[in-house]
Amino acid sequence: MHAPITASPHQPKLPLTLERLSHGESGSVMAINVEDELKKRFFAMGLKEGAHVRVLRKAKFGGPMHLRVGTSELILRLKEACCICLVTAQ
Amino acid sequence: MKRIALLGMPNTGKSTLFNRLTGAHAKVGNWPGLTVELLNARLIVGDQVVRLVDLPGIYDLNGYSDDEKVVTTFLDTQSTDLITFVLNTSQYERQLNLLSQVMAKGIPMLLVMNMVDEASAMGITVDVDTLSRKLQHPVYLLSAKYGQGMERLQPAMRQALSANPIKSSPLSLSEIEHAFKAAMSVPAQASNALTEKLDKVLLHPVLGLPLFFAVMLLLFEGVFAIGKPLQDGTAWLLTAFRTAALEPLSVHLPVMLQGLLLDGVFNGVSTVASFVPLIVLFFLFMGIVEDTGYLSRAAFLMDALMAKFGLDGRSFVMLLMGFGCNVPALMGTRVIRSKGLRYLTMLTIPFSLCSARMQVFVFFIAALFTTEQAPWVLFSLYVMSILMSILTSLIFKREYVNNDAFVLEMPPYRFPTARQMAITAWQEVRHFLNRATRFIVIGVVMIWILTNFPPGVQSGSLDSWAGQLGNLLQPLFSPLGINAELTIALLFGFIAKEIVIGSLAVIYGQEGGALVNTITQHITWVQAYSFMLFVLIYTPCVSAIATIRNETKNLKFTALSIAWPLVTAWLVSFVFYQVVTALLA
Repeated sequence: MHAPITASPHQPKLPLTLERLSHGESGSVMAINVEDELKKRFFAMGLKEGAHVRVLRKAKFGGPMHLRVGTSELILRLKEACCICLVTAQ
Repeated sequence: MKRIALLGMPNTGKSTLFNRLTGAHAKVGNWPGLTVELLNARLIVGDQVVRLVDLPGIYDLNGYSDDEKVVTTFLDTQSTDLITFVLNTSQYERQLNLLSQVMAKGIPMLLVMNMVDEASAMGITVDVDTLSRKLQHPVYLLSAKYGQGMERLQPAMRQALSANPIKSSPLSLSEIEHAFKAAMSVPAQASNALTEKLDKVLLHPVLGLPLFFAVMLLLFEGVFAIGKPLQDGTAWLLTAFRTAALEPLSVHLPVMLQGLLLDGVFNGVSTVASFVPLIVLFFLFMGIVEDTGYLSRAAFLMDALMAKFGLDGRSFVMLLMGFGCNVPALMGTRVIRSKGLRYLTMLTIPFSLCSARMQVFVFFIAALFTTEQAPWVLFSLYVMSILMSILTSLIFKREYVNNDAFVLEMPPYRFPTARQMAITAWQEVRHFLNRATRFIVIGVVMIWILTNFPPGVQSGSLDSWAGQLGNLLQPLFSPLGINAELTIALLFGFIAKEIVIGSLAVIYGQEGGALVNTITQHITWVQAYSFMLFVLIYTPCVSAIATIRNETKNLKFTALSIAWPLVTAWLVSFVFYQVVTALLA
């Protein structure tokens, strides 16, 4: 769950995980901390290290996130989104 | 016979290509993993007949889902002469890993880049020559939906199956990626503008769910607004056919045979057949919703709620599919990797009010309720259907625990062409005729024999075998307000719900409007509703049970999936009938 992150000395940050992004925000995938089988499925959806992810929307009541990765779109529960570490574009 | 297999990820238009090549028959659905049975058809390629197999859409050849196991087993055990690998052009990047895995199998392969219509709308271009050269492998650009580029596929298949096919060596993933990078041009902001606009409305945080239910309600309203007059018309035509042609023609037949043919086979089958327009329309509308990709949106909107019942968004979509027919919905659960979630979903699907049960309800509602009451009565049964699914998952969610991640592709909105809709409608007619010959004819003949034997009894009277059987079971069913005749119908309804109305036609020896009148005189609305509740909840049909057994290979679970609905059906009908009768007294 806790991937090392190379934080810049000027603005130290906690590892940012996907579920903390809100609607319209985006980032690059740095690490995916899930078991191998699920990682394969993420990979087939375009969700891999280095991929650019944008949050299109989040469902109400803690429901899934609607993401765009490259030219594909997918939905993902917050529980799984927690396992994806990002660096934001800014 | 040589064999060609279609292989690719879900949502690459494999089934559309299959239909395009074979001229119909496979069901197309814009839902990941819908094509769960191995669809196949004969295809003429050059001067030989080959078998074309549509494999389920999969993400990874080394994956562990049942779908992926089906494909790997197929490739390892069935000799395959040619794989036609189908890529979705606009999302090519994430599909290259699967492509390299398939290439490594060393089976001759054709590479098809499908959905060029969508890709070019997004501004994506493909340099086919460069790509073919770099891959050392011919590439075919086409749109199976609109038929664009299809003319080049036949010669390519012929060449690939000929004595000297083009040989190509497998490439590594990075070589493949490199080739594609050189040949593809994707604009920085490639997106589907229409899909984005529609999603802003249809996935609106507040309006999304109400809109979804409004769409479903509109769908049902539409089916009845158009379908009911068609059904009445068909029933009238069939009755006219009987009086004008069948009765005069059969006067010289022995009385017994005439009775069997007219009151048995014809009454039974025609009563069921009059519902065909309604059912076809229902499947057509459901098919359109499915093909557009709206069901994946439904999964997104409903997931948070479904999680509370131990299910997820995919289960919800399968429950919706079950409103058409439970069998494909049960098979659709193969995309779910968690055994617990898959079993739980399979336990809830049989409560989905399928189109066969809808026939029974439409018939009884028309007989015992006013036109104003009718839509609400039917609506209440749909609500009951959903409540039963929820109740079941709440009770069993600790037994069958979901440990699967929820990741789902969200395809762009697509609109089926008239050709695709015609194929869907035709398929439903065929499906009905198939079931009709298998179950309905045999069922109604058996009922006719039961109601007319031992020889000499008055047809359908309490002295007939059916009457005796009905009486024998009365202690069990009279507390539910279900009389001997309806009990017989229930017994046969265990085989398939399509038989229920047909069997009543045979038991009462009437069809069409006359049958409706008889039912109105014989039972009260409370009895009818109690009967409908029982029909809704108890086992949908033998096919559904067989499917559950085949899919799970688990006898204990299959037994549970029969026993649980039977017990609840009895309890719910009992409580309803006793309480309402007491209130009205």
